[in-house]
Parts: sequence; C-alpha cells; structure tokens
Amino acid sequence: MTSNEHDMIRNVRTQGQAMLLEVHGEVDLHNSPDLRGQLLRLLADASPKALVLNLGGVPYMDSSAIAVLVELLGRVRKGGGVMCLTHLQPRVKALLEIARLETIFRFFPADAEALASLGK
Amino acid sequence: MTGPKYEMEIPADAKLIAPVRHAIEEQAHRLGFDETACGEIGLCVNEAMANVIRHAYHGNAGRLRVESFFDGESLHVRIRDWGSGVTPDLYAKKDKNPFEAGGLGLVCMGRLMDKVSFTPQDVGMLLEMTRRRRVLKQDGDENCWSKA
Repeated sequence: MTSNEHDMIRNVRTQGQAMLLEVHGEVDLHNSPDLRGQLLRLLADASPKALVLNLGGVPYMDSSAIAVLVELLGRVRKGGGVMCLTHLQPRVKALLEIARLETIFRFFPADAEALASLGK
Repeated sequence: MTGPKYEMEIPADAKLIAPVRHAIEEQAHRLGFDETACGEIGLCVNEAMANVIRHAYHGNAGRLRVESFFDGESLHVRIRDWGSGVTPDLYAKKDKNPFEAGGLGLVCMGRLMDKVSFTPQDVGMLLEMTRRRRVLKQDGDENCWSKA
C-alpha cells in the first residue's frame, strides 16, 4: 500500500550546508501531494546548498512523484543549491531514466558519496 | 496457460491505484512474466488510471472499469472511462523535456507496452494496452529471448 503523510519523511538532519532526509513508502498520485507538501514545508525556512534525498525506502514511485522531485529541484536550484538522490531502488531508477532525469539529478549509491561530492 | 480474467469497476479514486496495480502485477507474475515486466506493466496501469483521474475526470467523481486477461501470448489491459473522451497524443511526448510537467505517463506506456491504443467511445474512452510474455528459448541461450 502507499504510505500516508505521517511516515513518508524521516530522519531529517543537516550536515554543514546540506540537508539530508529519508523518504519511505510507495509514492503515487494518492500520496504524492502529501509528499510535496511536506518537502516544500521543510524547504520553506531553509536554503540548503545541497538537498540529499535518501530514496532507499521507496520501492516504487510514479510520474506524480517524479513531478514532485522536479519541482523540488527547481526550488533548490533557485537557492543556488544542488539535489542528490541516493540509494535508488531499481524501479525508481528505471523510471527516472525513462524521464531522462539521470542527467539532471545527481545519483549516488549512498549519502556519504553524495556529501563527499559536494566539495569537488 | 491463460489464467483468470480480472474485471473490476471502481470509483475514479487515486487511493485505488495501488491495489489495482498490485493485483495486475500479481496476475502477470503468476502468468510467468519476469519481475521487470511485472513492474513495467504495473507502472503503465498506474499511469493510465492516474491519467483518467486527472484528465478524463479532472479530479471529479467518476468511474472506471479495468479488465486484464492473458490470451496465451500477451497480457491485455483495458481501462474504460466515461470522462472527457479526449484522445491523448501518445507519440508527441517521445522526446519529452525532463523539466516539462506532465506527459511522462504516456511516455511510459508507449515505451513499456508492446501496443497501446485509445478508442473514443460514445461517452469516454477505452484504453487498451498489450504486453507480450517473453520466454527463454529451449536452447538455453540466456541472452536469446523471444516473444512467446
């Protein structure tokens, strides 16, 4: 089943100028508006130089979730930041590739690699 | 092997996308489709239902009928709605701009299913999607897949 708003985002933390968080659950049209709302609220009071989304807890997402990620990317870029996606599961990675987003987001196997890349 | 035919008439409600997707993925799995194919079929069912909810009914109340059956060669999924009846342009989005909103569902259907057609009805639309089951050839060549 898809997740509800209350448990989709976990373990929000900052490290230097980076904001890191985990997303959990399947995301589709039913709950992507909730995910969007939560993510935009998190960014309302912050302008991280990097937003690192750990998607290891997301076995599935649809195009409505992709739209949320693209909107989020626009917000982060507007503030001069970058957005990294980590721990991508196969179905999620496949959809991102169909959407040709592998060249726009930065994919990393783990958060540590994403953070390490920021200084380069 | 053809397996049972699934037919369900449901409200056009986004919370029903996941259970319908899971049911058809499970059907495809039991019919011998590989894991990747099951996931791709499920994604296309998801995107088709979402398009009906967003574009045929514009988020308003409505209903849709989902049928899926296997003919011994291919899994057929039919999604009927009684909404706006506008035929999506399946091919216009093949070179979709990643930053452009919308259209990704149609791209998925066009790329992941073997055949997709939209047939306007007196009221609404009938979407038919077909995905062939691929079987490993008997000669054991793991790289050689053929359509069943």
